[in-house]
Amino acid sequence: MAKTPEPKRTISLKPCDGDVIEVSPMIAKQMQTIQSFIEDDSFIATTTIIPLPNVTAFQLSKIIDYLNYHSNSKAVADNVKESTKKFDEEFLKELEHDKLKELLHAANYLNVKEVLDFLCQAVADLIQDKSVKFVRKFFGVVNDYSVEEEEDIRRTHAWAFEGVEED
Amino acid sequence: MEEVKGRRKVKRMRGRTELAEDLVENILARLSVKSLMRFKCVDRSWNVLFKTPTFVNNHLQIHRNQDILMFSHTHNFRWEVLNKNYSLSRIDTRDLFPEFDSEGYHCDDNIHSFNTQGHCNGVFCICVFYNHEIIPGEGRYHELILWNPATREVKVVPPPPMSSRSHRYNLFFGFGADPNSNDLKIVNLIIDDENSHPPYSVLYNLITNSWTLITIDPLPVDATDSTYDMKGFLAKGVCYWIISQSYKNYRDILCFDFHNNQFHILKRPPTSIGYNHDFITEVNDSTAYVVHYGDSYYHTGYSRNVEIWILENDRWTKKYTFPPFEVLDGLYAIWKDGAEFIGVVVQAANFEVFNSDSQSIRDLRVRSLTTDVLYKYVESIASLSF
Repeated sequence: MAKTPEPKRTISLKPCDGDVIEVSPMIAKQMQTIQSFIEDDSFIATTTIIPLPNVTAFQLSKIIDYLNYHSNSKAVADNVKESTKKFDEEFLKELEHDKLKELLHAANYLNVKEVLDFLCQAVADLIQDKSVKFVRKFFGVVNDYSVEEEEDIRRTHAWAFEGVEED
Repeated sequence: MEEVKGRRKVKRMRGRTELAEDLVENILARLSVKSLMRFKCVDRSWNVLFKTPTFVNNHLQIHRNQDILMFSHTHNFRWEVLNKNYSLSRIDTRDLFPEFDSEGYHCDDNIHSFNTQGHCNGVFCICVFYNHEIIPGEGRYHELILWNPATREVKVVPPPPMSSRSHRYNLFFGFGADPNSNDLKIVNLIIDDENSHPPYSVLYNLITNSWTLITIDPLPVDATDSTYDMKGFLAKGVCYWIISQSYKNYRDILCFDFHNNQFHILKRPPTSIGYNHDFITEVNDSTAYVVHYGDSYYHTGYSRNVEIWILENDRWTKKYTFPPFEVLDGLYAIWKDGAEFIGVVVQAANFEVFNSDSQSIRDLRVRSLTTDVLYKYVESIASLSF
């Protein structure tokens, strides 16, 4: 960047379904995939627009929102913790299951550890007390046990099925 | 390697909303053991995944710093879990250990007593003493069991090989794991009281389910007339036994490194007066020696600083000093990165939490008189059978 006479302050990202979104270098730094673009010799900050064929404008702006909010609220004071918790809840509220999974894909593609960890934890919290059937549906897993085999596991670990919603 | 493995797995995805397997693993490693035991029957590959060492270790790593303490009691088989928010819950052991009633008293005439020997990576090692020989004629009255409360799995450890020994001997017992592989191990060091046999040591490895004799260098440990707790303290893959002798200025700590299976000796921090009130633990991912009473205890009474000495290059360095708690009698554990202590108030019957910043005290409602040890507990999916 030192080579350019007037260094541009932002990085241009082009989602698959919308206009270019400008992000600060600090936000771009947290996206490992973008970081490798920037470190490439052919990258010129003023003109290069990084195409993101696997990320929608909605997903990109969600991820940027999350990073923006959390980079500004690193303090540990109780009132900050409280409002962070509220932000996280609101953030997830807008996401139904499919949208949540798609956002996970996008975060994975961009390789943003902070968002990835947050979303993985959110899915874990969602399925923690759910039934086997719910989890199979959520992850699109086709059961490959025979009826007897599955019965056997359910019997030996009957305690693990207590207090959980029914199939 | 990981990268290629991850990519190859992606082809199993069926649509845009199916998640790549590395993401699924990342999510599942965050679940409680109870949920994982239930999701074994989602499909075969999940059941296999939960048994792989990588998954078991990832799960352990994610859950390791959750500040959960386990109280183990001496006279009754009672296990209480203390969570970060001070909520207390009891582990139901009646299905697994029918020989103990709902209050934790043994209702089996064969059992004499039991002793919790240690905790490592979610697994407890318990020694059960019987009133009769386990196998008539063998002369063995006790048995070691491993117990994972989260998976509800119990395993009986085969008896260690015995070599001929005199009547009186000193036993050092250690339970831990190789810090790299997390393979669970038990070490016994036997030192003959009359020195008629050289000291010897045996090591049990859960993976091979067998004991091996390990060669030891001559140890400068003088176990005669010394006081020490048979079970050591485990911190960062090393087991420590604090040894003291009332009339000698003996300041040694015997150490066993579960990484290279070797014993070595360390000196106690200079302000420590003995094993009785000191303990070794992990604080902020370092090995820490906690000194509660110093040399002047007998002159100044209870108001003594709490000192935390951190192990750096085989030397103890004093890192933290906390102002004295006027009423603190015994100190048992540190949690929340050293912000709080668990201890007992003078002449009180319950455990209390001492906050060093606010100097406040909170009653935990766990009886201290019958409590044996307090362990930093972590839930683990680790299996005890291979």
